[in-house]
Amino acid sequence: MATAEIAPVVSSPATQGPPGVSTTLPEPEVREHGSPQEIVLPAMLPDKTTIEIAVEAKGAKLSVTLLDKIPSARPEKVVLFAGGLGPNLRLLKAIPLEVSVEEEQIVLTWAETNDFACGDNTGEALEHFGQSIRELYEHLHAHGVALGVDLLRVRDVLDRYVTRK
Amino acid sequence: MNLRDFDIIENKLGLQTRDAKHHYAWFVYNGVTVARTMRSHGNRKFLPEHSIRKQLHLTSDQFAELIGCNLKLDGYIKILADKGLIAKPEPTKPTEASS
Repeated sequence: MATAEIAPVVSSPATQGPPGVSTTLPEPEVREHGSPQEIVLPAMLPDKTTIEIAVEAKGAKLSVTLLDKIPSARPEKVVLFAGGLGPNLRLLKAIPLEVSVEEEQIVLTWAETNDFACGDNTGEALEHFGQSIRELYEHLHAHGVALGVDLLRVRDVLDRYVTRK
Repeated sequence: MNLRDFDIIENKLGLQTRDAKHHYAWFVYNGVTVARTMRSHGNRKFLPEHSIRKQLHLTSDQFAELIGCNLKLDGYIKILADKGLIAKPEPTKPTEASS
């Protein structure tokens, strides 16, 4: 059984009077299973990952959500690359990258060209992606390099996103 | 896949490589750069098999055969030719069929 303690003090502009005047709030309603300072939470059900508890005191509503897992700040599916490409190249528009996690590594994939980058975290993977794109751009635009049909297509795609400064 | 698998592919296909921030590899056929792939430096770095396979224009089965023993350079060239990514090699001599 989980318990949570909530101080019975509610402060908001609505409860604050002019300077020198204090407002004493009435005691919160005593709930069936505990004192005003202690709220007894129901036991977590095996098939439930979230429990929401609403507490009402003098019109104010407090909602408590218990989570089994800490939510990740990592984007779920897509991240836009708008990072630097070195001193010679610049982005024309952000590159959409699919985000996946494999063997505890962040894998970013540019589906349009099949380019990818990995890293211990999203930031590192984005940095690696920028390095790879820079290398790819320079190679595909190098003088005297003949390209097959697929890499010509990749170069065309790349030219829509990247240009020389 | 692991670093050894990547090295097998690199050697089997005779990829041209360049080491910079990462390790870049290019498949050049008759002077034309046809495909490319890459990996990060370091022995313990993760290699995304799915992405590398797609960059080399192979199916899962073909990729497994490439890492194994069944698919060799001439078989890879035939796959690329069948996909229209390179000109079909002239049948001047019998080629070793890949199984």
